[in-house]
Amino acid sequence: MARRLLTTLFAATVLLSPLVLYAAHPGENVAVADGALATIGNRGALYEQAHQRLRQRLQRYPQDHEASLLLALLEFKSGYFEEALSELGGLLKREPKFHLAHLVQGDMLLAQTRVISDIGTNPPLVDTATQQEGLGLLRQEAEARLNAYLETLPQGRLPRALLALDDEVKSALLVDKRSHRLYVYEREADGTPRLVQDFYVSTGKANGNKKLSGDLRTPEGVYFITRHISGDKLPDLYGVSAYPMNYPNEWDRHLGKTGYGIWLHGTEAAYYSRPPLDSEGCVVLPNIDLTAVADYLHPGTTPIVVSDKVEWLARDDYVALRDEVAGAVESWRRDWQSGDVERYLTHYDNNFWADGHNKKSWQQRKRRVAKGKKWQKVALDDISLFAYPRMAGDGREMMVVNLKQKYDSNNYYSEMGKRLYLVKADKSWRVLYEGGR
Amino acid sequence: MYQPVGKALTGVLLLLLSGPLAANLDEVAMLIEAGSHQKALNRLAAEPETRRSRLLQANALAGLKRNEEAEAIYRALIEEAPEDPTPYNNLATLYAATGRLQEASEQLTRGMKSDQRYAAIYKNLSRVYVEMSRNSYARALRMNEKQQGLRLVTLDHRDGTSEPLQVTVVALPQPEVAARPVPDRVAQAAPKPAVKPEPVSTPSPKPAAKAEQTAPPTPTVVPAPRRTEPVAVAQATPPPSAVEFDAGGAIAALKQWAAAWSANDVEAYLAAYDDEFLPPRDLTRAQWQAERRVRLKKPKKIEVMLSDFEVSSTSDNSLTVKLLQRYRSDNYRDTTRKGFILVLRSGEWKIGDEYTIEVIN
Repeated sequence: MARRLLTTLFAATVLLSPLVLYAAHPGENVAVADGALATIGNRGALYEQAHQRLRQRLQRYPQDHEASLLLALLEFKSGYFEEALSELGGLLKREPKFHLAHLVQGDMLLAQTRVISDIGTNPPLVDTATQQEGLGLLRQEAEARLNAYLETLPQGRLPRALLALDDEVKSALLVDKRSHRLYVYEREADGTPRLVQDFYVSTGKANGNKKLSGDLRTPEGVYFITRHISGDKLPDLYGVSAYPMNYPNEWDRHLGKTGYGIWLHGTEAAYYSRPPLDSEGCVVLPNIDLTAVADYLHPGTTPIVVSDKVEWLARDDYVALRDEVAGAVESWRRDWQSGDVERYLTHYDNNFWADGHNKKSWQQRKRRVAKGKKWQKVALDDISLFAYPRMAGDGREMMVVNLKQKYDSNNYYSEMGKRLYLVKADKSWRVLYEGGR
Repeated sequence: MYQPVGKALTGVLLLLLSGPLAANLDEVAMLIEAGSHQKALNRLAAEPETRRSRLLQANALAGLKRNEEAEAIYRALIEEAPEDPTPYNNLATLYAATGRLQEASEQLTRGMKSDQRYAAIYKNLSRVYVEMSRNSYARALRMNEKQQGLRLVTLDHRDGTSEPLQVTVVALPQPEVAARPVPDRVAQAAPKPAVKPEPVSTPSPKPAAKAEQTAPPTPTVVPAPRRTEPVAVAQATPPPSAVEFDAGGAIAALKQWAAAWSANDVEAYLAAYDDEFLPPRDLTRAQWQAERRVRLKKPKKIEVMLSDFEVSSTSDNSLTVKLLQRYRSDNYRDTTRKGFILVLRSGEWKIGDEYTIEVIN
């Protein structure tokens, strides 16, 4: 019985610690009724909600170590020290290389003897600059993971970047550089994306959009996974496998950006996860998570849109924007098919470029070709629409359109995969780039 | 060894629980638990006033947010029997509920210290937690931390506090017994300085200090396994855990230690170490002392300079000091960043642990 009183007193002491990251909402205190000891009190509604949500995450994806860590934090900040430690103990058994979890465990143990105000604020033994730096990086990881959890996704909102997915695009990825999150989407039957899962990721050591080779930045834009390289063919640094992206894409090359080898890849063997800003520009996932994501990666078709901050739209706005852009593509097709070459050419932006062409040479060529046409028919299929991250579009609103084009005429026939970049100018969408893919 | 204690306890419990009064109060307790605070108060009005009934009354008042009335009762209960941890705890819940966290933590600390064994166990548990946390941090930062032995304070029956009846004081649901610590037991229990609990009706400006006075001497000063040591002396002195953050005192002690070392004064050097200092490399205390004697006598001239002090509190009566140590002798010199755990013993800071953080050159 004495032991129970002790536990009660300890628990109450923990609750009193003014924890910052560790206590988002206060727990209840325990009154000792008399000889018989009261239990810690009912767990509040907030606690129940969060608890259920995290348990669900673990049920869906048992390797969700982040959910397990958050669960431990939740127990802890609600005053359930033993539950918290046992959750962490289980987690560290499953993943002994989750260094952040070790840090949190250290804090929780230390909090039994003194007030801990924040994650890893003043651990004993941390003396050298290198250790301080390591601590700082773990704290950054904690912050990124906690913020991602606290910023709950607005229900029913859709990512602007994935406006329409065609039949062949079964899945798509979004990377939010600021919150260090990778979102995995699956295509619904109507071509809209549905969120499957999200993960913590590390990105380039330097902040900002990539410009030059070696600038340690992660590029922002609409990219595609180009292939798969198995980890056993790569240095340990890349983890279980790597998925190269098509950086620099058409727009990057047009802007004269340099650099190469921007990949989505795993984590070196000694670590479970890496600090938020840690790569030379790649997007890095824990191995176990990359293995889970691999099911959604189809080299050649899977888009990966990297942005500073993912932009979400209410469904109505999303549908309106999608219809607007799809309408612009359709009117381009119709005017092309009509044979009125001048009307067709109004769809091209003044800064238009294509392989070997600028706007002027493109106009000349199209006018010449038009003279030989008695009739022509343009059919488009499998249209995907990706909104370019605003900040990466040089301040302009841009779209990447992937489509299949069937062209038939009195003197020429072709079928091809095409990519358009559209730019919004004077309230209408114009073609900025056109090329095969 | 706890078996007989447990049996005795159960016996006493059964006896006490069977009384009609206890049954009535149990019902009141259930009412409070169910949130029917007013009903509980009404019921209590018909009961004879006992320590338990007053505690329940205060709990019910607290439930009705009549905080001042509840607080007055808790304080009176504390004043009457400072060794009963319950009212401290409940007073703390009252404070905590109104955001007075500092005061709440003070009351909880006093509750913890109401029994020497709690205090000792809490301190030991703290040390174990700190050690475990050090291991976790080392793993978090991927350091090669060697697992160290941890020495804890042992308890002893000599002070009589482990008698079964005393245990029941804390936990029995019948506070008639709890209320009055059997007087002769207390008398023989501790050579406690006859400190009268101060009236605590007004919010005290320095409650921590008062807690010290009302609490029995802390058992940290009783290194029980070493029976040859003058335990009684330590006990007779006032409790040393001044709890004050005494960085100046700790630094002064280390400077003395360095001065003794510089002066080849081996005895003063060794005296700077706490009895519980754990010699490095699994040496016994005697082996270590012999080694230090040789090492300190060997060079003709030693100069030890300390600088860059960094002091943080480790627990109630210990401090961590990190510093830069410059050592210079006839034929050797080095600079190391070192850490010390200093422990307060009878008002003096002693070295409880010493370790090298980083060899600089």
